[in-house]
Amino acid sequence: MLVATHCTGCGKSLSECHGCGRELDPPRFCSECGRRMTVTVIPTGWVAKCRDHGELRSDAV
Amino acid sequence: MGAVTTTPVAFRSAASSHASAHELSDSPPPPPQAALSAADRALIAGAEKALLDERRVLGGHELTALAALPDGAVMNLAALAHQVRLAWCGPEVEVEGILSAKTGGCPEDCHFCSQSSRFDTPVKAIPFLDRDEVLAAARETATLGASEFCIVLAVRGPDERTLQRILELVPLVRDQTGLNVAVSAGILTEDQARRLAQGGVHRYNHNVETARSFFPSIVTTHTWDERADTCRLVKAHGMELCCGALLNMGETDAQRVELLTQLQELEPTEVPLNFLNPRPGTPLGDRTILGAWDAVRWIALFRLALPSVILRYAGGREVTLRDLQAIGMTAGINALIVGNYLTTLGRSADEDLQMLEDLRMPIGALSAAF
Repeated sequence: MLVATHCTGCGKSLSECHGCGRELDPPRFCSECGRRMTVTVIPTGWVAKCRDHGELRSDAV
Repeated sequence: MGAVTTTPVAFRSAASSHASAHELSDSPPPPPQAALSAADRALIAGAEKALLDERRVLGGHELTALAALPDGAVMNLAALAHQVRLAWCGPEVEVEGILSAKTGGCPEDCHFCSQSSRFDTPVKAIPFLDRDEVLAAARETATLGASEFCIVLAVRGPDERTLQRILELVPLVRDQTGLNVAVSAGILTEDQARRLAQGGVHRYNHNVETARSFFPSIVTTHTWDERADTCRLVKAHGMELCCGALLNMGETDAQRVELLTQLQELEPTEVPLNFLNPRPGTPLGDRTILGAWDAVRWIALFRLALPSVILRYAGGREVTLRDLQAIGMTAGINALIVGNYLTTLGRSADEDLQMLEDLRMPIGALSAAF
């Protein structure tokens, strides 16, 4: 099981940022590596993709 | 940038002008309606007579006077705006879904936008989604009771390849979902407007966002007049014009009234009303959020200025109005974007549909033909 080590709002390490993402923002940075993700927002959800850690979908969160 | 509105007309608390963008403004509730003077009541009665008895559109001077009414008049303005909406548009509410089909990487510098390539924002550019992704999003939108689906692209204007993709998608989405298809793809040439109209685009979105006099403070890579030219091309070629506004970018109340009179001249079918949701990394990223009652005031003023338009709740309403979203629906709004926005999330479609059910507002398709 992978453990979140980065803020999904800014990509910084959780030791530097404890989570600045806002309630109505999709994750923008990978929680595992802090890399900026490509995020597709669709009417009923979102799909975020990290180059190294794959795809995360809103319905799986 | 960073100017704040200066006229003392609404619920602009001192707290909100000093709060960080992450804090919600803390506007007080409106005072009792009994606080209104005879002159204020007469002003509202005059607007009621013009809009409901004479069926006359208000002019700039009348709108300026209404905008300067004291805080205690907001619910009066909202009540009149609701009556006007029912009289001019009927009880139906139009529901629409939108999709950012091409995200980020935009060369323009709209200071509110996280999709501009000129600002360091968390939004990473994504090329045009493929056909199946767009169709899937449209099908989801149809299940939410929507009658309209807008395909949005972050571009200055469409190049030939992009235009071809749009022209391929529009009939596919319409035929496979039964939805009216709208498009938002920036500044158009006359030939592009003609081809989009012939290709079945029902409504074209091109927001002017703000007053002509304030626009250069927000966008420097193109002009307000270029946007207005595209709006006129849309109408000239037979598409319905969707031309919206974004409030709380630092414009004054006088500039909001200016915007209203400019929208009156452009004669859009639909006006999506956005409230600034400050985006990290943009020049407006540190602005505060508009007070909820201030938003209600301006929803009502938009309806009073534009009695026949489809006035749509759009981006920023969740963070601005919070629990007052239902009041906005009874202050002149008769359409909403359901589900998520382009790069941010909305509240759940179930919450919006429940709100409409509770308000006993029927969902229906609206058009320019009322």
